[in-house]
Amino acid sequence: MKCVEARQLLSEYADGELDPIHAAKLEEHLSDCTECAMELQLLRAQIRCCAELSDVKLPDGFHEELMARIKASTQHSSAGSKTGMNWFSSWIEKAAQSRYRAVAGVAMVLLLAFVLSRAYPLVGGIGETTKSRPEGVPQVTMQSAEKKLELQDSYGRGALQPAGSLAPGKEAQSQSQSHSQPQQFSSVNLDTANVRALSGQRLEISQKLIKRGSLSLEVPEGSLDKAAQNVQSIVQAAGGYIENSSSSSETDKRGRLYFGLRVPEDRFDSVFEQLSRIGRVVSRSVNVSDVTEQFIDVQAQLRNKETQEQRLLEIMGKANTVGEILQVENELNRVRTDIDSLKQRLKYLENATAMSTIALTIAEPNALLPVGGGLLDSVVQAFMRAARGVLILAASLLPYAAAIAIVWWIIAKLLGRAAKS
Amino acid sequence: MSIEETRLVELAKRGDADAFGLLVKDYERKVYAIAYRMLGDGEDAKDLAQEAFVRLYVSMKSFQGECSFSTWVYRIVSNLCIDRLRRKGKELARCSLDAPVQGDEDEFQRQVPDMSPGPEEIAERVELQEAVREGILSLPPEYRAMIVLRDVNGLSYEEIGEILGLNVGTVKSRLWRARQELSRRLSSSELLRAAFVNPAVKGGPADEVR
Ligand SMILES: [Zn+2]
Repeated sequence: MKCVEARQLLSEYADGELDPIHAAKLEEHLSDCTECAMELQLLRAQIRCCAELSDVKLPDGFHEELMARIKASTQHSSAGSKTGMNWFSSWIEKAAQSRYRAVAGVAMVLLLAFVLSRAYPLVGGIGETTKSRPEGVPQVTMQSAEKKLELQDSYGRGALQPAGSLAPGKEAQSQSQSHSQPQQFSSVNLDTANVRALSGQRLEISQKLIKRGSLSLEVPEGSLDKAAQNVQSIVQAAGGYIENSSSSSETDKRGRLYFGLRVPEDRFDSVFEQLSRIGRVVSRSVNVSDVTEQFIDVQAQLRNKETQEQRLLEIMGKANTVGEILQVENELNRVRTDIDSLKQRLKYLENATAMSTIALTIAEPNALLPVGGGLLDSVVQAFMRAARGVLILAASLLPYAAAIAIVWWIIAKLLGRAAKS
Repeated sequence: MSIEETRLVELAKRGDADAFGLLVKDYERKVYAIAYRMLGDGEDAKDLAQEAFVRLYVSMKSFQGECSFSTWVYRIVSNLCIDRLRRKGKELARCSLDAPVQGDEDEFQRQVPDMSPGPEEIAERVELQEAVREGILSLPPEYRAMIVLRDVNGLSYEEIGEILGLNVGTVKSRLWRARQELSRRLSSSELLRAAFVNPAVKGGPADEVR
């Protein structure tokens, strides 16, 4: 490749838009030619400098001033009749482009005065005919078309509430609403069909169980490593895995191993049984919670929220005012947040039900006995020791105390008698 | 184009000034930035940007969605800028090509008289950015639009093609020339070189290519 060719490609190359074949050739040239390589560096520096110019502060009051200009132009054009609008606006556009703006301005004012004087009675007339029309007759004017959209819209929002929960009362409510609004039947049918699909699914979902097992074993001294290997092979054979593990060499050099195991739910029982056989069972417990209902509930909520999201998008497509658009947007954000958290919950449930957990402790003899060993434990133990000491002291003093009491009583009596006599 | 924007555009087409106001909010900064970098003067830019939006509003009805709304907005402001610069160029005979250049790229390749300030003059202005800003403003309108849309505002080749009514091939070659032209104006000052390139390496600037 010659330098001239290379230079022509640099611009595209710097943008990352050059096709791979040319790029490869160019790169080859660049590795040989310091001049062209330097040129590329310069070009990149130049582009960076330009990009730094992109941050331009908008002058204060720009928006307000602009909107005032626009509102002023609307007030003029909205006075014109509907058919005249297009012509009028294109005329304004032409006039604005024209060099003879002053002349055009004067002409515009004159024309405006004329149009205003003509248009006002006309507009009033349209309003009256609209009112006198019987309901149900298709109307073609802009105003009524908008009204119709508004109706659909407010209905659509009403339907959101029942979709939010599975309560049967609310479902019925949404159906009764649909009868009073025949045009909207299709969308509500869709909704009830959805609910039916959900209740049908209730039967299909197999039981969802979260199983948590806890097992404590004792193995002969020196066989911890072998036990650990056993654990690993049992878990792996069942398609599970060791989520975490730790070991502690307690005082007295008695070793202890902890495992957090995950195994497929359907293999839980057999794995638990196999693990129990590794050593002497010190303690075992299994906790099973049925989350089938919860699972179905979350799924249903998720579906409903997704339907809501869909409906909101439809409503957005029909929104008539900026206020509505913003409102729907808010609603949409809320629903999407809910969807996210429901999805997370579902993911957790799926994970927890698919893979059961087993907390396994394996220890050499006696390593299991001094449970704990933390600060609190030692404090408690010290306290107990002290308490026991006091008790023992009291118990050993008890016979003496009785003797002293009797002696005291006798002395008191004798002293009493001596005083009387 | 988001669904919200689509809806706002539909409402604005019906003459809803509030909906149009929201659209303006989304684009006014960028539109003003383009105008400012093209014209180089805050007052002019404000005036032109507002004119662009007023035109946009008035011609809203003719927007049929054949391109994205943003493309349409940028098209209006870019064309207004180029028009204004051409008119100004004719009046002032400043940085003008002899005739308005459009379409034929061969014709467009003509040498542009170097109107950039002399080396000493620029060297006094230490700020490289200032030099680049000035450099852009010394380019003929068509080149300036290329640099402003691509290098300053980061639009894609495709977008620029749609905005200026050029095919992508033309965008590429025109952008290349615009960048060369800009670099010629900058490298005469050695500013870029001094700022970004190892001073030990010396080589001729873009001139060799011609
Ligand atoms: Zn080379």
